[in-house]
Order: sequence, then C-alpha cells, then structure tokens
Amino acid sequence: MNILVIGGGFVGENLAVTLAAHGHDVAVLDKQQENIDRLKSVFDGLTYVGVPIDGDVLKEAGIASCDALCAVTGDENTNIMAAQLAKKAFNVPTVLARVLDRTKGEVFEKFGVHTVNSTALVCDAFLSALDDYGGERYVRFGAKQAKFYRVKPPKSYIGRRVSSIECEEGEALYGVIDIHGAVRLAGIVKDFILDDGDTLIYSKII
Amino acid sequence: MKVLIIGGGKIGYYLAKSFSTRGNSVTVVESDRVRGQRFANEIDVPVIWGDGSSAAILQKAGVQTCDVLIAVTGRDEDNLVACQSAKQLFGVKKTVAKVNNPKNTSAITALGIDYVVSSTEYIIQKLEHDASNSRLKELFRIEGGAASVFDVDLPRDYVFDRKMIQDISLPENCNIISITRDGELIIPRGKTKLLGGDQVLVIAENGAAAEVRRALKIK
Repeated sequence: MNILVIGGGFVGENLAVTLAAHGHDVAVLDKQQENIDRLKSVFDGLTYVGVPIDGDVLKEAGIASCDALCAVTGDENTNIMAAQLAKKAFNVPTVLARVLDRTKGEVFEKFGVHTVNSTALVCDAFLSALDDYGGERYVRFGAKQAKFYRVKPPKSYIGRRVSSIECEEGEALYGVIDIHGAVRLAGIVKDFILDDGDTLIYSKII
Repeated sequence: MKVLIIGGGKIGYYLAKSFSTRGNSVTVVESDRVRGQRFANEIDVPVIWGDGSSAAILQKAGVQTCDVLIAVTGRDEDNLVACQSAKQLFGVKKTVAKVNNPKNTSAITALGIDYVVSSTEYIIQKLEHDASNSRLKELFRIEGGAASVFDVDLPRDYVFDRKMIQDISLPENCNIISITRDGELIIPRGKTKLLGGDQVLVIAENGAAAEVRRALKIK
C-alpha cells in the first residue's frame, strides 16, 4: 500500500518505520524540519516538510496516489482536518486520525474518518499493567468495541470442562489463564478442566 | 439571538462587542487563560476558558441553545472542528468559520460549514482595491467567487459620454447595477445615459473583468 503518514514525531516515526518494514511505500509529512531531520536517521523513505492542512502541500506529498493516510501529529484538530481533506478532496480510501478527546472520535467517525484515541489507549495500557485493577481491556473493531475482562471462576465451575460453561447473553468465554500464567483459548481447549487457581477471560461486544 | 464565539482574539473581541451592543446574547470561548481573563475584564460577556473545539467546553458555553456559532481563532483546523462538532453533536443551525489560509476556503466549505470567511483574501482584495490605479476595481465577491461586484470610475472625458446603456454592447455575463452621479444613486434602465464622472457598479462573472473593461472602454 501507498501510505502517507502525517506527523514525524515519536508516533509518526514508529509508524512509518514499522509500515515500511512490512513492505509498504511510506512517505512522511511534518511541518517541522527538525522532526524530519531526526526521522531521516532511522527512516529512508520520502519525507516532506510543510503544513499538513494545505491541499497543495498534500498534493506535493503524493496524496493523490495514496491508499491510506495516517494523521498522527500531537494536534488532534490538525489530524482531523488533514484526514477530512484526504477523504473529501483527494478520495483517499482509508483515512485514520489520532485524537485525544473521546467525543471527537465519535463525531468524526460519522464524517468517515476513523479515529484512534491515544488517550484511551495509554490509559488502558496503564490500567492493564496495574494487575489488581479489574483487568478490563477494550479493543476496537471498526465502530464497535469489545471488552475483555477477567474473573475468578465461581466454586461451582471448578472441575468442569471449559466447553460446559454457559455465558450470559452477548458474552463469550474467551480463554483461561491457568495457574502458571499461560493463556488458553476457550475455543481450542474445550476439554480443559477448570481448577481453583485459574482465571476466566470473558469478552463482550459493547 | 444567541451567539457563541470561539476565539477571543481581536476579531472575537470586536465581534462580541458588536453583537452584544445590538442586544444579542453572546458567549465567548478562549483557550488561552490570560487572554480570556483580559477579554472578560474588558467587555461584559461571559468568557469560557477552554478548547472551543471540544464537546465538553462547547456544552459548558451553552452550545445547545445557541442560534449561531462563529469560529474566529487563528487556526483553520480549530475553526473547522468547532463548527463541525457544534453541527454534528448539538445541531447548531448556522456555523461560520474564519479561514486564515485562503487555499482552505473551498475545502472548508465542502466540509459542511455554512459560511466561510477568508480574512486574508478579504484584506488582500481591499488592499488591491485601494492601491489600484485602474478605473475598474473589484469591491467584493459573491457566491464563493463565482461573480464579483466592481466599482467603475468613469473619466471626465469619457468616450461613451451621454450614450444610453442599451447602445453599449456589454458582455452577456455582466450587468450595470447602479450609477452614482453627484451623490445621487440611480438604478439604471436601458435608456439611462452614462456620463463622464459617473461612479458605476457592475456585477460580472468570475473572469469577465477584462471584457467589462473593453466593453466600457475604460483603463
């Protein structure tokens, strides 16, 4: 894929390098020369310096032939505007914008811009890392979100097979963390017998 | 009318002043705390401190009940997002955005903002108009630049002096709107005569200025 990354900060740099390593044709546009200079030491693709919310600059950076645009600057409104320009003025099939504010994500999904909420992602990572915090995780699939959470099996489950566990409506047993910390997928280890030290992982679409 | 202004800079200040003296209820949102405080000290309108493009701040500023939202910050992306959020989340009927980069005017219009005002373009037009030696000067553009209204200053020794408008072959895509003669405004008909020294307003489609100049035989 031909991908234009807007923003050459830490996120942009990481994204560009990773995408290029996966074999994509990646170009990076940033309004600051310093960012591009730093980026060049680790990224050998095309780079451009310019204001990303300017149609002429986007054109110069080859937006017309892009399959996807990732706007990941630290400024969410710049990302949202650049993504909308890409979508409306240049018909880029996939546009993604990094946002910080949850409601902006909701608003601009409606305008055809997929948003990635970096605030939520970071908070989520912190919460998950704090082990005694309920252990909830949210994963986004398109416009829907799935919630994964852990619970200790009730006494009545001990000694039963994974496949015999009944879930509530809209929920599914995703997996089991065994006593050694290994994660087993419920769909694969159907005959796994639940033990006292195990933890159940449920998933739910919300 | 309830007006919500995003951006407490110079434009926001005079806009708020003008709207509130005409009896409208005005609220201003400014992201810079110091600037917001200064603003609140100078005029008697509520100033909300915060990011005017975020839903929470818009709500705090009463966006739900406002009739019009005008975004006049110095950043085009902030003005765009404020207007789009107000429209999408709160159903604000009329949104107006100031555009600083003239190249963004058409793009922002296409993104659903009701009125887009390009300050740069406006100032350039005005300066060009004032600095120009030409007898035909562009006054303002309408319909996003589809047509312009020109101010034509007929010379004293005008070649078409006393000629009726119907006898001048004007191009199809233009029309004479008014004539100002000795301080008096005349709405012309075909039989109205042009006189040297008249001040004439002409409307013409985009790109027709040269034709108008030729047809009226002016510099």
